[in-house]
Amino acid sequence: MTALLEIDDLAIAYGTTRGPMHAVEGFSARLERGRTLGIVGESGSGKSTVALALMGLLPAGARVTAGSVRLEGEELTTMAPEQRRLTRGRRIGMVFQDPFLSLNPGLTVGAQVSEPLTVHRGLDAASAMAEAARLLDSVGIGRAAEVAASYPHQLSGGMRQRAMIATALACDPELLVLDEPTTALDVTIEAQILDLLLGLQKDRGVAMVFISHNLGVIQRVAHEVVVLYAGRVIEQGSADAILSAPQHPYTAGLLGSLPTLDHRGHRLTPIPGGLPDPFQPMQGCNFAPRCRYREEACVAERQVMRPLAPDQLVRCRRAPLEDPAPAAPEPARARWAAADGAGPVVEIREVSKTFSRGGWAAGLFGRASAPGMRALDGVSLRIGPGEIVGLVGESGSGKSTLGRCVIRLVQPDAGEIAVQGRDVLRASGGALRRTLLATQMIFQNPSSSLNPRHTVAQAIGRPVRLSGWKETPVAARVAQLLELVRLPAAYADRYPHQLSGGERQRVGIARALATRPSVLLCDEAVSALDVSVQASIVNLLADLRDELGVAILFISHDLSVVAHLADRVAVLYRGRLVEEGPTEDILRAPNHPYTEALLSAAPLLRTGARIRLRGEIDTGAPIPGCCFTGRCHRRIDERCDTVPPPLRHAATDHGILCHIPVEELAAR
Amino acid sequence: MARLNRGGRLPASLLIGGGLFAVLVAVVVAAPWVAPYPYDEMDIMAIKEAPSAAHWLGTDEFGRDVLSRLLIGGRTSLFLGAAATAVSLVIGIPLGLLAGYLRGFVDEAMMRIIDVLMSVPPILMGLLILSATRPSVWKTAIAVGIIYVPVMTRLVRSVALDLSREEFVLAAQGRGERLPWILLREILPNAWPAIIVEASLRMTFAVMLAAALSFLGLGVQPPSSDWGLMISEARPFIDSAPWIVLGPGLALCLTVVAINLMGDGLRDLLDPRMRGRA
Amino acid sequence: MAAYIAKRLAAILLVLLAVSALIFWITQILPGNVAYSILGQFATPDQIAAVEAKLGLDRPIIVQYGDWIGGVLRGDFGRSMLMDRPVAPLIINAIGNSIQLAVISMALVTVVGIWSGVWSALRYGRLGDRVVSSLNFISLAIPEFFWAIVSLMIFAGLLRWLPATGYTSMSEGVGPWASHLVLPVVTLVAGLVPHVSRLTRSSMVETMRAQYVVAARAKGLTESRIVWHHALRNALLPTITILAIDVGVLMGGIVVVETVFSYPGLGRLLIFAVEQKDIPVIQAGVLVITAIYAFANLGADILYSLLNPRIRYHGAAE
Repeated sequence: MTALLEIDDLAIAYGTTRGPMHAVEGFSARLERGRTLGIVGESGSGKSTVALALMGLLPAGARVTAGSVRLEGEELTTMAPEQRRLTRGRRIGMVFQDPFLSLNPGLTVGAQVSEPLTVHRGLDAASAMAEAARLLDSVGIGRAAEVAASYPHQLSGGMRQRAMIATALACDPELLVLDEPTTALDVTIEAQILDLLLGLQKDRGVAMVFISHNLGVIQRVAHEVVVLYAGRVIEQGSADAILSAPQHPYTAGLLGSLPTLDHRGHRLTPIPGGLPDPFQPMQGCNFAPRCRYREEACVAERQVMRPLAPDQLVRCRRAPLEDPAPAAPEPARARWAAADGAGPVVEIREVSKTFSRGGWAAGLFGRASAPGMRALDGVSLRIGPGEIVGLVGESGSGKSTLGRCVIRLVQPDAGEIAVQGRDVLRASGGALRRTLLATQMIFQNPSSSLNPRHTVAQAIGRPVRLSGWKETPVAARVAQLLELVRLPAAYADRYPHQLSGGERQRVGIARALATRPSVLLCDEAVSALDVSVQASIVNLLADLRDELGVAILFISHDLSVVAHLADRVAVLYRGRLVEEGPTEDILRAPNHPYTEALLSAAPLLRTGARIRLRGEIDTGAPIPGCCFTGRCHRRIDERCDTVPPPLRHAATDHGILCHIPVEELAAR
Repeated sequence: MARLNRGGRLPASLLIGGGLFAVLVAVVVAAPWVAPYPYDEMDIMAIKEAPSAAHWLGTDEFGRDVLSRLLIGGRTSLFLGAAATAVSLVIGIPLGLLAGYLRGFVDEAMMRIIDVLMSVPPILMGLLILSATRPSVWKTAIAVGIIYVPVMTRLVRSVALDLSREEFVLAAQGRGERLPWILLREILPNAWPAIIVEASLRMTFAVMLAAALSFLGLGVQPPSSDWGLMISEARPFIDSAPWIVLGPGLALCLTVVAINLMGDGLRDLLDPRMRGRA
Repeated sequence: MAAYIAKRLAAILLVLLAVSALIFWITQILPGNVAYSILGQFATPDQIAAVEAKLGLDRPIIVQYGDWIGGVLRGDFGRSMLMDRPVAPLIINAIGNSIQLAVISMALVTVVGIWSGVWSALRYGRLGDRVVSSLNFISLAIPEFFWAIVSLMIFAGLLRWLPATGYTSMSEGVGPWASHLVLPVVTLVAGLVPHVSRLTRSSMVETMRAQYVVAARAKGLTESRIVWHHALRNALLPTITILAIDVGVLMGGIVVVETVFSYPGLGRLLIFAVEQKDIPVIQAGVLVITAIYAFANLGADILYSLLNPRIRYHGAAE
């Protein structure tokens, strides 16, 4: 019997002004009914191109150059366009990455969900709308009729993604193609969506092609896995085999560069180098330039997929690898030690900030004014010298606002912030400028954190001058800083567009270090990077702490990265610090219920029951009681809604803001 | 992908438009030396003569050589366009940078004033300003420039507003940079591409608006002359001697085509994201 | 929605008040303007002072403005200095003729501009698109007054198909009425269509690349449903804005076109008034045209909010 989906030797190329760009080559896979095929790859791997090819939606200029795609034995690549259109939405449904962009802003949700029904099933408008409401209900949207009548901008990201799933399922397709469906969402929402998809698969027997860069997510949903690197499949087989015993150096490298909660203290093993030039396809292995197992034959000879086990194929002549496990952790180096009795580098006391919506003249000039949004609510936090404090929270938790308050990009309404004992919030002029030099920020977006018109030397040299550096010429200091972030001195003359994302982030770090700050504020500093690059930046930050004794406030939504790097962790929810303590303590019970849920949602290789939170973070009116009560899985009674929770101490330096006693929290 | 378009060859439209514009500027600047006749020399033996070997574009109602007058008039027209654009840039850039970066009260106040200024259509604004004073070449240039200050300010503001949210600007604020550094060294260099493209567009509007005002008798006054005024003066003879009006008219069109081509080319070169926009 | 319209209306009235002050200030305060223009350039200072006292021009500018704006609000725009008649009837008479020109032109600009823009966007990069783009490019480079003169030269002079100048009302027959309108309308439309067409084209091209259009394709919709049901309503949002701006450009164009074609409308009246320094007429004319432009903008705002639910529900665009 034929499989539901059979892909053989698929190749796709983009025609460009520089000639054909080979996006995907030799892609083969089979998918049975009711199963899930995971496609894993970093940016530039060609995984989204495969998804669009399955749908017959390749952009203009891209075309299938070889191979075949068969759905129930029926060839799709040569199908007439009109017939192909009829397969879309009816036999194959698709969900896209960004729910904010994939719904039409001008049409109601109901109209969009019901559309496949009117087109493919010929339903009239009224019954299609009724069916749409039922579909929305089936993907876990409450008050479905009301949601159907609303517009996309009125819904949260999670709700929109549910609506997209409902649309894709409208005509009961046999196959669902999901392109990074949870990447734009917070982890707790991601957990909800994955549950939903798994449930739908069980109920309807729909097969899924699930594309993601996130190995943890793939591990949760996929039965079979294909690993793509720069357009080529380098390893494929059963999910269990590949994720537990990867045989290709790249797959092993990907796993090695992921921080996990269980292996703290290990150094991550990043993959050096970058992607090959897509315009010059390599004869041999295209991963060879970055591979530590490389031999001459790897480059010279064409590599084929070789079976290693009944359910595992690898495109590597060296496999099975002698040492497939990540390299042994380096011995920890001597850490910089703070002088005894040194005070905190940063002291944040009771900081609050409410953002008003609309400008000062909003009411006067005909714009709507809404109640303010409380971003921070009495947050206190200390960062000691040479200490890395991790600040975790979902989007909307206020974590970035707190970082920005420390460097006065945002002026809090109340509270105090001191850096090295000097007041930040009321300082002005030269005193403020001096204090600001002691706190430097590293930003999220490597493509916008450097001024495109300044060379690396200018970008780093400016803060060197501002800090009054006199010891050596500025150029020498720039070279020294580049060395500190492991970049060649020749990079000084480059412009940002001549650097890769990881290299730009290193320049950003060098720029921040140029003023010899006592604390670095990293605002999602590794979130926009691919995992292999992310690992090298995480390692660098750890090294800098050890070598220079610089304190770091590491702000992130990713608890596993935070836990890997930080000495202490603080958890922020709706502008309130709900838990704070040493990382080791945070990683085991007792925890605040919210932290508990975050820990269980952390992606990789962690067994144990996952905790599902209801709903989504709500930034509306403040609640008199606990800020988490609306979503808490351990809510006691009305007390949680009305009485502010007490601060409980699990240990002297481990605080939890909760009504539930510590002993009870510990026994989960 | 945008970077693939960078480097390499210059866009053809920029080469053609820029070349044409350079030739036009060179010819009108050198007009006193290259013009075949003195522009005010009357030849009563050759009134309203059709184009010939002696008079390439014919002669006007006083027997003056149309080509020679065209070249001299072109000096005024091109000067008006360039000077007006310069005026709008000199005022619009600082205002736009301040409004876009500072936001808040400064921005609101400026934008409301601009709303008022932009609610009067350009030709009427010119008519209003010029009706109140005795017109001259200089006043026309300044009036047209001032008319386009609000548009320019708005453009610079929106670019500055976007740029001021970029992380490299936050980084500059975070290390305590002063206002002039942030505006002039961080924001302005990145705003130039959009400003240059807008300036080229503005220049075509300015050339045409100045010509229209002169045509209506509000701009350049005799004995000075620009292409708008030449067309206006030639109106009675459009049936008997159409070449008198066609010369300056086509020159005006050619100038606008040249600057527009140049602007499209600059946009492709400097700002690949804007490609294909109107 | 009603609250949104009310707020926009209030904002427009404020803007118009500010514009009226601006107009008054520019025309009135500049030295010796009024009396000078009445008496001519050989007037002595004594004569000027006498005239100014007679006309009340020696009072503080605020008082004069209050006087004038009070009259305007009651529909009294003062008296034309040269024709020695009330301004209001003059304006009303002229405006009727201009409105015919404006409405017909604007309707054609909207239809032709949007249609050609969408048409060429759907043929992006192909021959049809290039032809439309080239026509737009050329048309954009021709100033209105030159267009007007060339079309006069060809259609009225050379071919003698159409009357060169003037106006006949519809009561004298639809044929003569239309024949007088053809050249002015074509001139105005030719100048404005490229704005609308180019913007609609680029907006449509961009929209057709949006993620939600790809998502609509993934539902298996037909291309025509995607274009008409999904893309167009979003692609037309910037077009609405430029149509409103073009009403302003059209008002400017009318001044030029009416002058060339001796069409008895507001534009020609205004130019006549400027030539004769008839200040009350200038003030009234500019203010009325600005008001028309402002209310066209209000119409565009309302249309925009109808197509854009984000505004309809929150009263503000983010």
